[in-house]
Amino acid sequence: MAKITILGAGLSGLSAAYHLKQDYEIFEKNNRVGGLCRSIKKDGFIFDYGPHILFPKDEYTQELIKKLLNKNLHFQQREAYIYHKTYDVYTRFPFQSHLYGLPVPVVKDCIIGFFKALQRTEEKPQDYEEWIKWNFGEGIAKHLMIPYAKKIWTVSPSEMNFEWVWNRVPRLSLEELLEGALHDSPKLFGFNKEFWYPYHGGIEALPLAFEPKIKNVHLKTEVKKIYLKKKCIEFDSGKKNFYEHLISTLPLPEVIKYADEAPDDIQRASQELENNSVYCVNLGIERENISPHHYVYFYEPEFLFHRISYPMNFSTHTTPGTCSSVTTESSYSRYREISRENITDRVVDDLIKAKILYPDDKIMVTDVADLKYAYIIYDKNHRKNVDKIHDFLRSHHIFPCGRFGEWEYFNMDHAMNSGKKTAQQVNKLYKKGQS
Amino acid sequence: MGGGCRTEKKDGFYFDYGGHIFYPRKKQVRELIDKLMKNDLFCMPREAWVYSKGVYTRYPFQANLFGHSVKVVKECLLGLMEAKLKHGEKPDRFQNFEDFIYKVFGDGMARHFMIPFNKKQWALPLKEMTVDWMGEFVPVPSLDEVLDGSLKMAPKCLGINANFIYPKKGGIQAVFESFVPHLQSLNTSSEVNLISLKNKSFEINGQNTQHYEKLVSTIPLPELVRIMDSVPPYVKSAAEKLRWTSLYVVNIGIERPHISDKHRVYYPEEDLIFHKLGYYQNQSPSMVPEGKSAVSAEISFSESRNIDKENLLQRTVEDLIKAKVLFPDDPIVLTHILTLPYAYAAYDFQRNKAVSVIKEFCEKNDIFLCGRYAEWEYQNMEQNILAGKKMAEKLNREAGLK
Repeated sequence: MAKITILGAGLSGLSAAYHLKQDYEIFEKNNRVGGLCRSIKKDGFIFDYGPHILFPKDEYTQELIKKLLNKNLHFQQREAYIYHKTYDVYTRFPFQSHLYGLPVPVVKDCIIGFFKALQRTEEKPQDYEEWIKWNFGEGIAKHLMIPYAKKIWTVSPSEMNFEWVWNRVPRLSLEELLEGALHDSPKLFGFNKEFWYPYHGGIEALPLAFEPKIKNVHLKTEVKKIYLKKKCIEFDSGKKNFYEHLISTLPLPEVIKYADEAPDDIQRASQELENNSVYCVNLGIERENISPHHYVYFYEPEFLFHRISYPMNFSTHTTPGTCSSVTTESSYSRYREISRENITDRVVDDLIKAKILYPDDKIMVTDVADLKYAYIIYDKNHRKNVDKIHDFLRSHHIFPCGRFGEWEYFNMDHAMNSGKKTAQQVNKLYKKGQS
Repeated sequence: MGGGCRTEKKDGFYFDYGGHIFYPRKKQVRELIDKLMKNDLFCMPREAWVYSKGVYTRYPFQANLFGHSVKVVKECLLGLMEAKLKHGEKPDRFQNFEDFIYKVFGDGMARHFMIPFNKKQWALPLKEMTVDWMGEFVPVPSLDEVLDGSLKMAPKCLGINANFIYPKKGGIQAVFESFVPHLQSLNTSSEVNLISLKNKSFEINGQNTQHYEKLVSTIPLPELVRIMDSVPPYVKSAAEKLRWTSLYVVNIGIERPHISDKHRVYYPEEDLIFHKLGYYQNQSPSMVPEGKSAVSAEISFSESRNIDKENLLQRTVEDLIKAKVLFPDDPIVLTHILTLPYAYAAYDFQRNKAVSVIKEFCEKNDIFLCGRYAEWEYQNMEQNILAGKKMAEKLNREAGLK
């Protein structure tokens, strides 16, 4: 009998299974593996659940992805831009490295703000808004970073910490700032300036490549309850599973909800966890090459979405020959609600406003994906609450794993690493037990 | 008459003794000039430019970086901001002029303009110069203004002499000729060779002796000391310490109209012999015969920058072609070299002491120093007019007149 149970067959669950040396069983509520890494196939178009690109940093994960996807992997340079409706201009992403093209007063504001930030003597930043101003100055903060942060996070950056930033928000030298302000510098900045993406099958090709290498996958099996003391999971079907160790990739609040034996303070901590959700509106358009870009960022509040992406440019095989495809992402949360009603129409209107679609474009395919758990919000209690819940779960032989189990801002390679790391911890326990 | 403000006339061309643009800012001076010149003045926006690395940008360099290559603009901005980070927004203690340039403008502007240009213009090592002379002559724009000038083309010149006046006819000398009807006893062609301090007299052209009670001298300070008799050694030695910059103005007339739309252009690059070109016909069309143009090149020299006068003309023409001002086949119809032995007083570290020693000695002998060359100062035309006025008022007062 398997001693180890894995909940969730997204990338982290699959990676955990792949790296485990003991018997395991893996349970997935959906009808196929992949989690958020699945793709939607509709009338010849392929859309992901929000854009997913690979930019693995460590060699092991790079090799693993290459091994899994073999020749089905396309390396390319990111073409990411920011659209400024106010000035009707596109500038390169990231904003701070490519000020060229903006009106002179804006560029000047950003440079003077940056220069003043270099002269500062005040205390270190305490929250994400202060961190932005500390690193980039008032101009860049005001013209882009704060409005964009409010849009994607649905909360004010002053209510967030900045431990998640890492190099997701690329910092730069005064010289780099000036270089990007004085001409259309093609130099790329940021940790994902080059990325990998499958030629065929959308991002789902990656989880599917794990499938032949793992076993005991139970699909369409949703958790109903977790009995912490009995170390037993009860599924919707009424079926039960007893475990010695449980690797859970489910979102932390879901786990605590199922494990209702958890004491009040754990329940409270779980209720305080913050995340945003994202509506992805996917469109198939009957017009070729509507854009050369991968991503375009929209920081202005008048747009419903904060970012759009063009799956057709990630891989031409995601889109029928003479068509184009676009995915828009709109964040929402308990702090900013978005009505789902008419969302496709509103998105199309905004795309027309941004001159990306023409009013007479024929839209062949529409699809709305609701990503209930999209990004973790790093509010000021994030670390405290997560540590508390994790300690509690570990004391009950439950290993939280993956973006939503660890409750961190993980990319795909991080999720795979998390699965590997968790599998290694479990492997070690059994090795010790045997000796 | 006219001194440094004379104008030479030759074959229908008029040449000033070096570029003179007049931008009186004091109301009393402007009113005086208007009274003297009536309607014989043009007033126009200055077109002053810098030519460097193949591009024209507006003058002053530091406030108009737009148009230079990204590399140059970036180096200038970076240097400026680094200097501000290191020395503060408004540094106020400088070891010398070179130190001022690095602290106030930073490495980039220093390298791309300030150091090479000033070396050429002053013909002196900048480390040996003080910053006493600068006043408003070296504009220091704010970071905001520098960025504005880096990110877009300024539509016109800014600064203290954004607009200037110039006589419609006769060159800059016309301004000073207009004084003549209001003066008395003007003796021209009268060189003073000797001043006898004991007798309070001076000799004109080696003969005619005149007595004075009080003498106002506007002649260059080293010349004054040279022609005074019985000068004590300490005054002589002070005069020997004075240094200055001399100037050649190489004037070239060519058979081609409208060779430039600018008034003056500054050249920082070392491979061109001149530091400044002037196009007087753009100050007044009457400065050249119809259908022709002139260009006046200014070349500084001094004891530390020797210029070979024999090859000066040829070298200037070659460099004008190199700078794309002249075409190799432009027919040159006139060449003309003016020599200004005293162009700029040098503000080195001995100047202040030496000048005050001499001035004190002169005043003891009722000789009063007045103007750019006698006071040994960097004065513009307005300051010279005011210096004369102030001196007259002082003498009037002492004579009990009002």
